[in-house]
Amino acid sequence: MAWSFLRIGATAFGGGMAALPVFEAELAARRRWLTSAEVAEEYAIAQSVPGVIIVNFAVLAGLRLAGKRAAVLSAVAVALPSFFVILALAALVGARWENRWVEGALAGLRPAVIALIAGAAIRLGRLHLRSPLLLAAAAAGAALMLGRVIGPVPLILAGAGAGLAVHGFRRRPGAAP
Amino acid sequence: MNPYALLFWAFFKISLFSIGGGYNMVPLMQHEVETRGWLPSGRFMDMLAISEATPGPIAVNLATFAGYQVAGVPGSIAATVGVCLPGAALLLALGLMASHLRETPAFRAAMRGLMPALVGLLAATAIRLGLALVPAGVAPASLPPLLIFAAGLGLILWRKTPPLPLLAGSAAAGIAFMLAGVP
Repeated sequence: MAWSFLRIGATAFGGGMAALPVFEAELAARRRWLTSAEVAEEYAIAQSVPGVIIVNFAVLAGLRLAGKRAAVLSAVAVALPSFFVILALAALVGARWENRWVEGALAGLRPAVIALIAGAAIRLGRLHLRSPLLLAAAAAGAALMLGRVIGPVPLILAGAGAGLAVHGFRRRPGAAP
Repeated sequence: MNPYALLFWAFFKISLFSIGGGYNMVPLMQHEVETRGWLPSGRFMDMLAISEATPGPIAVNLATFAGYQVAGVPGSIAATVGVCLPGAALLLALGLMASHLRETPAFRAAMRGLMPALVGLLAATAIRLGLALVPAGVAPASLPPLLIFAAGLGLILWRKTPPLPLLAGSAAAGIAFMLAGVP
């Protein structure tokens, strides 16, 4: 299992959001430890708790297959390849930030990274913000962040709190739906 | 607090308050890294690009990278353990009950409320980092980053281009601008 998760950690390009096919290929198609449906179910759970999706997934799969020790081992195994690849790169690039080729490549990468973040915001917004009220709430949140009125953690807590409050209000008997 | 404990705590907190991994963690990381004065925003974007283009969880890549930049190898270990711990510990404690929690109406309601906050956070982060990228404002020097940004966003939205080829193309464009002598 540790070997399987090392492989997953070393081949999952693009992080958690793009990792479902990698999990599926290794754990369902190659090893037949889980069915595709189980992989999808655990992927959904891994996405809906805090933390790193791929690590969360490794813990869940480890738990299901062989208990707590296997879960911890899988989590460590899935994170290790990243850790060493990045350390090597950091040591390599860190000494060459001033190199003109590195500087040129990075000058091109920075706007692309911003495009990726903006693209994620737009994709998420199209998927989940289907009413003007929700869009206005997102705009207000962005404005509060940009004005440094509020930090990200309070904003996230406020969002979750608002969701729960609306839910509680709707459940009360006699309240307007 | 010693730098290792500080790194551990910062990344633990970042991880604890982000659901859905990857990009959703970026606003929290950017806030933390900037308010603590750990890295300039340009360097943060460089690390983000490298984390995107290498295999494995983006959050682990970023934590390892930032930890290393701030406090060497021990710093990278502290940050990586911090970022992995909240989700792993929670799931170990909940065990297979986690699947039931996800089905509860209260949990779904909280997630619905979270979405606007998350979109707002991502948008604010993109705007803040984007403004930092064009310090000259409306000037010829701002043209190359603006072009790459516009082309990148267009490809993402209309062509669904995956991150890896997108980043490779932008790095090549950056080098081309450098060789052409465009500032």
